[in-house]
Amino acid sequence: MITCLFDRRHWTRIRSWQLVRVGGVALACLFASTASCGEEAGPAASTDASTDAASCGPQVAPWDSTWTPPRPFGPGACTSDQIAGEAKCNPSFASFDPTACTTFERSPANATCRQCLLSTSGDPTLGAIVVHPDGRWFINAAGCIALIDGDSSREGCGARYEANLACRQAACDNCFSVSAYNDCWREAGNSACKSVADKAICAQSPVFGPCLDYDTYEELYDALTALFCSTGFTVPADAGFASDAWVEATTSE
Amino acid sequence: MFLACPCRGFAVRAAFRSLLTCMLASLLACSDAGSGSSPHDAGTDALACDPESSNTWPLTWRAPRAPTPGACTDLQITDYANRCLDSSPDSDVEACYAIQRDPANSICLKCLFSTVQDERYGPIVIGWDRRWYVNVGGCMALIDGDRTENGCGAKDTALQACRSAACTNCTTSAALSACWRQAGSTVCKSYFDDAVCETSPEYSSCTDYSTFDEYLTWVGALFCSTGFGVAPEPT
Repeated sequence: MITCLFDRRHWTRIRSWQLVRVGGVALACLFASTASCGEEAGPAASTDASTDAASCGPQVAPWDSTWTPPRPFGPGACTSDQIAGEAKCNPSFASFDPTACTTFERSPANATCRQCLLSTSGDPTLGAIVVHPDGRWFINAAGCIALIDGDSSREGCGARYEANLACRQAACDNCFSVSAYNDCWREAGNSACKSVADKAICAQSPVFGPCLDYDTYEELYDALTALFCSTGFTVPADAGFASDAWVEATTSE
Repeated sequence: MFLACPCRGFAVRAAFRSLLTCMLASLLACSDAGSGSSPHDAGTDALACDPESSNTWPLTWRAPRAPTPGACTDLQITDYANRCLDSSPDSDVEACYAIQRDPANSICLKCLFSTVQDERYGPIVIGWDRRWYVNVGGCMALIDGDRTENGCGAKDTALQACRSAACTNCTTSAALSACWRQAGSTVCKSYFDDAVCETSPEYSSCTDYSTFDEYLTWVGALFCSTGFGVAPEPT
């Protein structure tokens, strides 16, 4: 069983999250990295035995390069109460409540919301939360990036960001402590995964702050579920002081 | 290519609840006469790194984006610089994150930032090393209207790229500053000679700043807020 720990000392920008459900126990697993003067700090993972710092490293490993585009942001599918209700099903949250979760999941009134929130890795498009066949949940930050970027193609920044994560995760799959995993994660960006990491530089842009800049898993969950299923992502009409600036900024490239 | 000299280049390193601006260069550096200080001026290896010939940095010139006056307000830019640059006394990572998450700032951030892979560059370019560089060469190209690779902006960018590559192994701002100056008369001399045009007063609005905060604020405003006055025609 993977125990996903998070070393906040290395934490800055949240890059990806996963929620693992194994044997009825769900553990939040934060993948974070940072723009760190040429290196990206690694995500957290695994049991912190601190014993394999020297025994693992970036390995050239096959990784899933499948890209599945996101569903469009769909404002109004969920209320904030419903998003909070789904959060009760997450054991890593302070609000975790199995009984309330069961009640929430069974209510037909929440079906539309849950259909928006949840998707599975085989779906043609993905929502805020992606459930993998092994039971792990991922927050779809890559999909968020693609939507903010306006490019959900395989060449878009969201896809490149996802590829970078997938490559590094595969490269460091043999690491079983936080420190070793973090070290491996950084090194992979300069070795086994350099090409995909370089392609993912686009995700370093602060433009993607709505998808990445959160301090806690709960904050990320709240924000991305809201973007996908509640508030959407709406640029105010008075942002900047030229109403057509967005169009110009977009079309001038 | 876009690169501002290291004195204009910073990287943002986010650490636990702290956004560190990794300021690699000193403040006067881009003039070859000057030297300066930096937050990372440990002063221990000032003599430890000499400029080296390198092809680390591609010298492909990328023309600047057309200015987008009104994409940002001046307040948005100054607020961003104040909150998100660690060198600012008002730096606050949480406030910075809040700015970056706010959809109301999306237009502005999209104008301010570009990455090294983009076809054209805005005022701030995130480089291969994840550092932030001010697109001074692009600013110069918009001033004189010559966006070609033969323009002064392109020549200035090539010089800065050469210097960055030559001094990439320097780990303190003092060392980098010294290397930077030395590179102009050694491995990057041909670029230096070719870029003498950058000293023209017409480029002052792009070049006459002493800190990265100032560069971001003022060059950012030229690209994304006030504009360049009379918008230059694309060449």
